Amino acid sequence: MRDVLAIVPAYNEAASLPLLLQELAQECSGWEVLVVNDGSTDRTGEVARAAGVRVIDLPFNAGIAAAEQAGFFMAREEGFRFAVRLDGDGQHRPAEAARLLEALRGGAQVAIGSRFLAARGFRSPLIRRLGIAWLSWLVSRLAGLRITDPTSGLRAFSSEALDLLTRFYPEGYPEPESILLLARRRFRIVEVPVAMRERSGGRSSIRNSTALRYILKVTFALVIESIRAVDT
Amino acid sequence: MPSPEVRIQAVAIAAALGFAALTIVLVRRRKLSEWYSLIWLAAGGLVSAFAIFRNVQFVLAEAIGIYYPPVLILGSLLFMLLGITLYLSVVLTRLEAWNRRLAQRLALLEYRQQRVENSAPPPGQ
Repeated sequence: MRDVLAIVPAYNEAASLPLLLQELAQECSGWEVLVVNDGSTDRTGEVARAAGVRVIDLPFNAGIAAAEQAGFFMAREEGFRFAVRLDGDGQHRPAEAARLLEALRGGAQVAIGSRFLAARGFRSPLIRRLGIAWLSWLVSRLAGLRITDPTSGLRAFSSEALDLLTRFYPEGYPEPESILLLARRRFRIVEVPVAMRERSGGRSSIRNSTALRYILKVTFALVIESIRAVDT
Repeated sequence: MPSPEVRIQAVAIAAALGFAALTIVLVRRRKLSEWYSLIWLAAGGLVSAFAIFRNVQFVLAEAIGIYYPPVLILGSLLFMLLGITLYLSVVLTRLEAWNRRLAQRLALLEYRQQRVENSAPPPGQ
């Protein structure tokens, strides 16, 4: 059985990918790396191929959730034991991702990198932290376990978790909802303290103008998820 | 000149028939599927039915307690349109999901095809 597939969804991340892929090769040797090029209009695909990693190209910008899930499919179908998901913008450090994997080898099925368990590294702007605080309270409440960083995209999954996520995966920005989805099915979820960096290039897909809309959508989606039947 | 009742009846029937004709033209040109055309023909049929059987609105409005009978026509049409729109949103959601899945499968398939092509000896050797 193959061991670890690192999944990097990337939309117009040509500027930040080279450093990330180089670090992955150096600090996480033995991992296979997949860049999911989500219909980028810049040189994301070429840059990733030049680094010698696996690259798949979605035919259009299908959204971050669809890109991640495409990676989950590859991990399942090629029999990887674990998948690690990192942002393409460079804010997730491969060395920290490796610590998530230790949690999985220790028996967890889902490991989430949390910026707030230990205050170190780059901190988000206040407005964003307020939004995260609200979602953190809501997710923790609904999921019945303490989650400090529900929007963190630095995650590692066991093959059982991937099985579920290839069947159901929320749309749009899927992070908070996917925690609830997994928690309601009794997956063993742990948070691991990590430091993150400021993105090294490109721009966040969630800007302040859309932040409120994001919070509203996710809040509603979480409430709906919490009243959904678990076996469907 | 015919009475106002007859005039509005004629206009309503003409409009409904025009709408039905447009629907048929679209199906004929394959711009609209037979299934969706049935829904729109039913909407046109509802308007025609109220126009042709003018007394129906009075009887029905009286029966469910509507004071001003035309509201019954507008109301039932509005409700039907709401239903159709909701149904179309459901269809759209399903199509989006299928579209996403197709994009994912295509990307994975292209990757595997590339890998096979790269590992196979070049043709002619």
